[in-house]
Amino acid sequence: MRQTIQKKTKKVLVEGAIPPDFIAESIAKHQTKTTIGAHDIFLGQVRADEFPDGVVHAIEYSAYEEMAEKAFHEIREQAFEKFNLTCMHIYHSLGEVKAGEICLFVFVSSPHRQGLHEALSFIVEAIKEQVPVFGRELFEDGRYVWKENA
Amino acid sequence: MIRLKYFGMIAENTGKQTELVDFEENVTVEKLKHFLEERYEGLEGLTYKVAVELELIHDETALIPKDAEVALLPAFAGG
Repeated sequence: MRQTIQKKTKKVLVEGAIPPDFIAESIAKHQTKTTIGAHDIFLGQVRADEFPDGVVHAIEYSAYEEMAEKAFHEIREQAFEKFNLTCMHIYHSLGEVKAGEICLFVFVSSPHRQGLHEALSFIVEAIKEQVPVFGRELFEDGRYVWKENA
Repeated sequence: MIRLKYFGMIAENTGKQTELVDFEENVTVEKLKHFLEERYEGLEGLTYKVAVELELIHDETALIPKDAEVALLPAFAGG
């Protein structure tokens, strides 16, 4: 019998690119949390990689959604355990994200800056390694290659 | 019945995203892989991981519970 997450957890996967305004709004929402002294943010942006077949003009993301949300949740729990964080938010795009648009937004906050960069790095690396998100790198002419994290 | 899910390049190879397979007894991950690789040409040459009930499998001798959901996962590309 599959274990269900008892607490209502916010979904990480969102449709489409993450707009810059959303990032600004997230920062604004934390202004009332006055025990916070430091924030660190990671933004993953789709890069126009060059291949012999052409230049990437977008990545189309798909995911094993149930397992991905579970993996994101576990990464969150591990980060809260390892680091002194007040707050953490993760958003990852599904669907088409054009070159230059944001596909991943990780936002961590803490009373002090010590350990914060490390926490962010831990989360980003864990996401790349553990979360079943898949990507098709799309070329202008309709051809594509499947993306593989290094 | 084992509920299979395919993603990315694996779904392209099998031509489907999901299917049900039935075995008389519980099978190991290894046995299921062999079964699928015989059914789908080219699957053997692809790199993929197996998840059973949302957990990645590291030991392929593990038995798959009856009625489990099993996913074949190609390379991750998150972030």
